[in-house]
Amino acid sequence: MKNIVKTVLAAASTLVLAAGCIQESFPAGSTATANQVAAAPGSFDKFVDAITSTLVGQFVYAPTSTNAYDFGLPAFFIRWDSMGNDLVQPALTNGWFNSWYCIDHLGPTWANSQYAWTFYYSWIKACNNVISLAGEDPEADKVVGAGIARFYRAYFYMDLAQMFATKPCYVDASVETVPLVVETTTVEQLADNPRATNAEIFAQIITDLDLAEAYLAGYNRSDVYTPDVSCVYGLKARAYLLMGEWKKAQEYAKKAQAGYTIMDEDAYTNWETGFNTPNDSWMLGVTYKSDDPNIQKNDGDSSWGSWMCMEINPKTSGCGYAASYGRPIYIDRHLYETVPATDFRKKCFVDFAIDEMDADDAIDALGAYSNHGDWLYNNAQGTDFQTVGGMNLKFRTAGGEAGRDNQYIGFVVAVPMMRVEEMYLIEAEAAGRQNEAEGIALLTAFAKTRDADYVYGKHTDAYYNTASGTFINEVWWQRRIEFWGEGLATKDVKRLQKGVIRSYAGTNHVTKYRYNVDHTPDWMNLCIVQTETNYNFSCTNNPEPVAPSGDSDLYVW
Amino acid sequence: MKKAKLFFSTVFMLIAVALSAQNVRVEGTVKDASNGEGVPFASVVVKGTTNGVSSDADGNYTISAPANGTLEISAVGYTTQDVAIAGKSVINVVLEPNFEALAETIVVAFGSTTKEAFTGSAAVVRSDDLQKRATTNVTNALVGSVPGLQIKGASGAPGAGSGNINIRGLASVQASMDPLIIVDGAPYPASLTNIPQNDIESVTVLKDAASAALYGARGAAGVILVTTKRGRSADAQVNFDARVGVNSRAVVDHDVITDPAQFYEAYYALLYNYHYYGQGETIEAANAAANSEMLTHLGYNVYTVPDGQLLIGTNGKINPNATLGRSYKFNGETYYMQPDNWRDLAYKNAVRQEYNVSINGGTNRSSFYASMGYLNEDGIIEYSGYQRLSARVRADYQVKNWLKVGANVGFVNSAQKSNPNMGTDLGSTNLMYYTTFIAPIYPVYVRVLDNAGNPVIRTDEFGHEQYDYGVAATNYGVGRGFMQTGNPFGSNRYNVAQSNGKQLNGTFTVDIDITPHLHANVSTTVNWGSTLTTKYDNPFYGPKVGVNGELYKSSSTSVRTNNIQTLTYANTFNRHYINVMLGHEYYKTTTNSQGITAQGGFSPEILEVNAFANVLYSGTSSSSSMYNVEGYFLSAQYDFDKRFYLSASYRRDASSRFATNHRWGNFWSVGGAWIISKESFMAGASWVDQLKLKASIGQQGNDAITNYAYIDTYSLSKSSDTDMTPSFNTIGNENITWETTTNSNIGLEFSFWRGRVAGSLDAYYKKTANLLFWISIPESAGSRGYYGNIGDIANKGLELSLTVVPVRTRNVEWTIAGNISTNKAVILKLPESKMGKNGGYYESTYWWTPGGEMRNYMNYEYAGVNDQGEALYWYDEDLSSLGNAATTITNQPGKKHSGTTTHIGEATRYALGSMLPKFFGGISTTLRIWDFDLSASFDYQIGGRILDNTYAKLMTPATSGSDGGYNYSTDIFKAWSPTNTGSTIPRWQFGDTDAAAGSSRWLTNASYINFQSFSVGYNVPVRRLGIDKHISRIRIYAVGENLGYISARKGFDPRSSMSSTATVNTYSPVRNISGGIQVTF
Repeated sequence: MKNIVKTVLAAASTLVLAAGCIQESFPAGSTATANQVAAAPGSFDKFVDAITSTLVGQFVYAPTSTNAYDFGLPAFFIRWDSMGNDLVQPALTNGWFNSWYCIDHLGPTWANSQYAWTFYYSWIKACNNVISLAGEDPEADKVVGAGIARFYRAYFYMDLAQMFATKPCYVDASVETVPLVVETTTVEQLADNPRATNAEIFAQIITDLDLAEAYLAGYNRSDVYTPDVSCVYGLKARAYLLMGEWKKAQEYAKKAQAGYTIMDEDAYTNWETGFNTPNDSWMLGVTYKSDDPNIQKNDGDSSWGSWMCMEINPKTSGCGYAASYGRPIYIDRHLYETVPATDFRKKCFVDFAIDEMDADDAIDALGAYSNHGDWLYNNAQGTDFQTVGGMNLKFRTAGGEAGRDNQYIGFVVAVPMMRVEEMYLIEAEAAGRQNEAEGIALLTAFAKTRDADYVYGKHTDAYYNTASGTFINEVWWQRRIEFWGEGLATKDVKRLQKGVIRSYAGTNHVTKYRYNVDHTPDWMNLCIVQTETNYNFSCTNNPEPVAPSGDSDLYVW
Repeated sequence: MKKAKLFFSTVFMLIAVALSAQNVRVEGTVKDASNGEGVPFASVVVKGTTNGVSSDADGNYTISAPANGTLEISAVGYTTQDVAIAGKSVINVVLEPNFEALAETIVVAFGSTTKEAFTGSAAVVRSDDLQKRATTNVTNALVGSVPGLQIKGASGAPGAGSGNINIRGLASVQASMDPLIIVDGAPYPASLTNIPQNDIESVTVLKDAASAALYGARGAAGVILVTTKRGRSADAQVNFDARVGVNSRAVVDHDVITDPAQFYEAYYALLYNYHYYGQGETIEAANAAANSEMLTHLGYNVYTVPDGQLLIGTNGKINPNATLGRSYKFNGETYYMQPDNWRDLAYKNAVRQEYNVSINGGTNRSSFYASMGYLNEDGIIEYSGYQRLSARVRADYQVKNWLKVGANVGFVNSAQKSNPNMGTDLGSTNLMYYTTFIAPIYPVYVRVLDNAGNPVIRTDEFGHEQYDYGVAATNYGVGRGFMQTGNPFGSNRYNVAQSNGKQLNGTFTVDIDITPHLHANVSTTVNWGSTLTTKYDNPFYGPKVGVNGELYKSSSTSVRTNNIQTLTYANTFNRHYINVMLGHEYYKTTTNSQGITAQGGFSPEILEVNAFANVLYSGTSSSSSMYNVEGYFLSAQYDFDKRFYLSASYRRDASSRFATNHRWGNFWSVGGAWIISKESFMAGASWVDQLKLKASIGQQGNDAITNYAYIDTYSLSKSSDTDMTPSFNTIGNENITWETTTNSNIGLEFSFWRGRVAGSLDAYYKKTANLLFWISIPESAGSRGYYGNIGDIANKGLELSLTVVPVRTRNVEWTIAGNISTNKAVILKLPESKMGKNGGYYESTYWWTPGGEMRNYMNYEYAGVNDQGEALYWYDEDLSSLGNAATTITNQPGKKHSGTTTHIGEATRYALGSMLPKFFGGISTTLRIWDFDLSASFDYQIGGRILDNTYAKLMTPATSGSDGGYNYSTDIFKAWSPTNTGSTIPRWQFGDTDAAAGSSRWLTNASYINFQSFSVGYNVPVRRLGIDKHISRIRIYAVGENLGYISARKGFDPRSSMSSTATVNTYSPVRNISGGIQVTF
């Protein structure tokens, strides 16, 4: 009897606890498995949103760090444009973007060469996901999503093509750009995926844009943070300009202008809404949101506003790389000085003459740029220049005085990606390349909206490439000043095969980095990160750039 | 004071309980027949009961026993004796030494065995050894004492977890190499800091398949078994142990510039050389430019120089008219700038105190152990510390003669106060980073001149001392060259970073004897752990002023359950003994975490979210995860005549980390031992106590990768106020399954001349197949790779441990023990897709190739300097743009040394050889002279090379203005210059980006010897003093940990890692010296 009790007791406890235990485990939090995503309600639309939701605001490169330059697409505007002469980086402390200004650590073994890859290819992956889900012939409820994905895939590849190709497409269609990964590319194919040529990648871009044009026809967007068909026209205008198809570039630039208005002086130089809020000239943009990780983490310092907005109250906030940590970005002094006093765009940058004044007068004079001249002046003392001349006040904090007192409000800004002004200048350039007189007329008409006293032919700096001629140099100059800080500068240097001039009498560039190069510098051909070339055995690379050993001899204009 | 009261009342309460037992008193001495000495810690038990005591250090014992009972006296290494009490009150016993039957018990998987019967390879550290250590985390006591075990990167932060533990080499490539930790039978992923070392009976490290295969799943990297104490004696014993000591900084700093003038001269030299040699300027122009740029880069000038003069003269020396300290007017105030010594202000000596009370006792039907412990360890950095209060009860009760139940319940409450940002990241509040790298010119505080003209620390409107954050607009009016916006002293003082941990661990066991030979056991362990973290950034200084302070609270709760059921059949047939066990185990862990961030605090005194105005979305989170494994197992032991032992096991496991149809794996082992010394042909060799040959082979598994690697995952981010979007995150591989290690071991154990020479020799070969490999893919995939089971590696090695007793007399005994291990880790097979046509691949600074060694460092090879003093690096013409390659190829190692270049972009990476040490181990010695004892232990490593990253940074000349403000090694004064052309240190010139590039130049010999611990003790002769009626033992002792080490370079600590020293000094192990007293009633 006792044995039975014992056996039953032992067996019962064993069986109760042993019965079929192992369970499948699912994540519950900020990660979801493919099955969970597929099962989520409205998952296709969520995939579409994923294309634009990480363009800004998120720490895409290192989600667990809060690196100060990990703030999405606009960070590339600063990175890339720092490689030329128009943006001056005080290359002292807090030098998150120094590598691109100083030209160091840009080789394939450095993380600096990984940013473009990590960001752009993860964005491209998001586009490929949507294109793949939408299929060859998208159903009605997937047409717009497919159009957005096609548009952005073209946008991303065009950026990459311009930055990695050694020559622009219209000059040499056979040079290599980057490996092309589309929705049908398998992981196995990636191991043997050579860089597409300019011709190949632009063919893909046009194919995508043709489809986007069809898919987005009739789509009414609610804001400029999602592309509509006018953006497709705009991107096509850019593409054809790069491809040398001037007629089409002119045609699409003209089509893109419909429904938009060129900014006037008040909009362009507004102390409250200057380049932080979309207006009638913005065709496409991105915006930070108040609850983005870029804003809420690291004191909001890992954001566009932190690097581009000067007006932050040192007492109540004291944050911002530009406003507080000695890292304002300045305009090149020569570029500034070529802007006539009558051109309202000059008001976006502090007059170099103020540095000749004593402190009190300087602070008074800075009142012409800001209600807080003392902040600008004191902050400048912490830069390596200890000067205010050339300081950028184009990009303003958002939210009025409350935003200046609290960067969590002030840095919640929008950033333009495409403005109608560019379409007027593309139209002018493309027209001029076919018929210079027509181009000059269009250019002059545009320029007069900035400077009523504009006279054609005064802005002819060739930056070593004299072959491009006065007209192109005039258009280029307009683009340099009109889009300063908006990410077009280095792409234009490459497109127009210009050199770089940082060393000249009176330059405000940082000593040791006053490089003059009489052709498009090699460093503007970005290196492909080794995490690609190590495993993609058909992928070649651009040479690792070598910076000049110090200041170049002064250039005489 | 209140605490002391609490302790004493606890002690007395426990004594009262102890005295309530009633029995006849018997006392006596246990002596060794060979030398007449007392036998310490002999077990004296009333036969047939669990009522027993241990003899003291002199062999004396006292026991309460029935007058008609029998005493069973036993001790390790002696033949057991039974003595009838027969009414006597004094019984002296003489035990015969028996070196043949070292019947030492070893805790093994799901039970215990004797050392003799054990066919595997294991090392045991017992409570006696632990007694001599002062560790908060018991794994630190394993360093140097377990052959084949290495621990790297242990932290000295109070309450820190274990360092990285490797047993017998590198168990894996990408999966975790941490051993499985089992506490009282159940997996224990929490920190062992939760268990006071006084509560630990033994720590067993299982190294081979025969010992660990029953933990099949997850045992591949070795297993560490921690067993807590249980009640043992019949007469209740109360043990009280108190120790108080001092923690001090043990790390040695590199030789760096400490004099501000010398630092300015060094920085000036950089710039001067750039202008004079690099730009070809005149001496005067270069001098002027260097002076001006120096102050621009560094920001701060702490010298007063007469008007119109420069700080540094054309001779490169500081202006003789310059005086240290400078006052100037800014913003209407007179500021005063002077350097502070950051290191001196950062570190201090700190007090560590630990108290433990335990009671153990039992009756013939039950045993009981209870303990309470309190630890208060102050950190060597202000505002860091650890407090732990722990309690444990372990009891078992023989309910029926066939049924026994047991419970073991422990609770620990801990509070860890740490400094903000103490990791190895380069955050602006990392104190270690500052003390390592800040130039000796910067002040910690903002100073102004008072009315009398004396410099004083500026105070703000709250009366707080103002720390200098280096920001121009708010501090000194100039930007600090080094890490603006940060001041870790200010952060530490006004910010809060603390975590409170609570853990309750309960194990319940039921043992049933179904028949005399059939036994069932059911064990259930529930472990509940909760950590509450508080981080607070103050509203007075630093980045959170604008938002009036920021609070982060997070809580993480985990519940782990482990259920084991076993059925064991054991029987003896003549000279054959068999034991077969069938079992099932299920382990499950679920974790829930929440976090919330809020800004705008009512007061720094109230650190709860309800007292804050604004909750941040990005700082708010909640998530949960679950992981479970299940296994069925079978094991069998057999021995013939106690001469031949055989063991075998089989286990089948499933893990939730793999897809449903790939989650089961099979693991097994077989082992055997032959006790040669028992053979008749050995009868003549009476000097041989024991000679044992053993061998084993088996397979174990590893699933220690991230969850959900078998399926594509997406990360969710907010797209609007009403929706989230999925961004592609990782590629999944449905086929991944267990990584399997085949582990074979052959060993010899010996003991000669009655233990005067004893030791063991083990050889092993471990092959890990189906490696859970991170398969890198071109990043254009939108992902960097995924896991697959591809590739094989092997570890092979030898371990020798030897104990010698040169002196063993009645009053003096001296023991020396040492061990040495060698391990070689080689790669057998790698994924083709990763190697491509290169025959290998470069990843994480290593070259991976089949047939090659693991951790084969691949980087540029330094070739000294050229006649301009520029650093030279070798290149291979087939891989460099200087030679035949279109662009320089960096993903394969160079073969030829074709020439040298000054540009890293043209240089070639070479495979520079394994970084792993050739030999490592420990040496310890114990000396006992009368009532005094002394012991010391050392650990060492011979060979191997690791990168001295700290030194590399200290030798890197500024390449841009943003590098200004970092301190330098004094070795820079030996750099190449036109007047010192013999140096191999590159020229000291600003902007030389390739001068100190990552290369073989920083590989440093990783040999070291470390004085790990010592103890000195005195056992008060209580019997001779006649107080033994009240107190059975008093020991007064001193112990020390981490006393010092010698390495290849001052400041270089090879104990920190297997690959490189951290760029940032971590909270390195601290030195502790404590004194204590142990009293047993």
